[in-house]
Amino acid sequence: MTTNKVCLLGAGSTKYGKLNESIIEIALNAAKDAVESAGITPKEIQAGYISNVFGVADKQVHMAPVIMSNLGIPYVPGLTIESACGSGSVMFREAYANVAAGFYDCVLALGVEKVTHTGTARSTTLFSYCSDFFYEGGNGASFPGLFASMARAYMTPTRQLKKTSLTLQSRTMKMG
Amino acid sequence: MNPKAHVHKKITVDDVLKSPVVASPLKLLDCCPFSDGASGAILCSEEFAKKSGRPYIEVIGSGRGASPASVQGREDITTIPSTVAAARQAYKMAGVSPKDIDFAEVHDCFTIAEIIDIEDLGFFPKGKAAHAVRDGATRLNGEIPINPSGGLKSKGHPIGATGVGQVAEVFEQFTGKAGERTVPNSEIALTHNFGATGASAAVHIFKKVDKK
Repeated sequence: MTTNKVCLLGAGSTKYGKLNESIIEIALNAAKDAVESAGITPKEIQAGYISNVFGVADKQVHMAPVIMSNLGIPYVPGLTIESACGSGSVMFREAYANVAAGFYDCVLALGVEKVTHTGTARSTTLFSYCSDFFYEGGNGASFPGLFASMARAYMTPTRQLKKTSLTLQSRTMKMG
Repeated sequence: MNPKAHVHKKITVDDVLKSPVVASPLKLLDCCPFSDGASGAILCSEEFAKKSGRPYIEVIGSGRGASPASVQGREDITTIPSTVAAARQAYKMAGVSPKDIDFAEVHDCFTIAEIIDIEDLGFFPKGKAAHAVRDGATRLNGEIPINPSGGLKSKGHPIGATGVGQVAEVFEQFTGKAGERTVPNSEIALTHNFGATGASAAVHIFKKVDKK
């Protein structure tokens, strides 16, 4: 497959941390930063790719058209993409692929999040929805717990690990 | 070093060990914070970039990978299959190998994630990354600087933005805007970001284009 070369012409970020603006204002600040650093105007953008997970926590989903409208380009198509903590790179890949395929000459790839206003307990619950909730989050296995299990496996000598894995497999088979 | 980062404290190994346990063996400072924030990038065709007359960076590799959604569904939980697959694709497309990468931004939501990432990305053999990190191999002046931006644990982790934030770091590094965290003489950089415990991942490789 032949694809076209894709270039990164500009990029920008807001501060990361606890921010008081709305999720749309945060998104627009980064968008403006990126547009300025590329030396273009929003009118040159032919498509927008927006990554976000918890827009619902700030009362906004279907974020792409809202962002495109606020950038003054309401007739330019946008797409909102969610892939948990990987949303930004997975979205970037789609933006990349569309330029590589020749569909567009210039696109905006923009990721945004706002969760801190919900507090630690609510944020932890929201994040757990990104796991396989039936098996993991729903049974109390939050992300620190899941990564702790990976850390324990990493720190366990291989032989012991194989034994544990076999025990678990045989248990699964009995249950299955 | 990064004015836009969430956490600006100098943190020692002792601070981490003294922080409260979240899920053993992970302590509070092994974990990234919840952050708000946004990052954006402008991608364009080569013709568009050349016409602009501005400095630009070429995306020379792009890869995607997947893993079973739950940790229990995986054969080995000391590696993340989606990272391995995405990296293999991106390296192949770019025609480079891990030793050609001058610095990388990787998904370090927890300390163990960074250890697993930098092995899966081919920077260190399996089981060797923890020692390499301890020996300083991933510092700014190390053999492969990892997360000059501060990564998810210091720069912060606004989850929908993190993957683009890594790209913004590459842009700042390659356009001379990274200040005191600049990786000297860097020309090729890699970004790696995954979702959940690695169910989905993407890897991108960037090359600085010298303006003629």
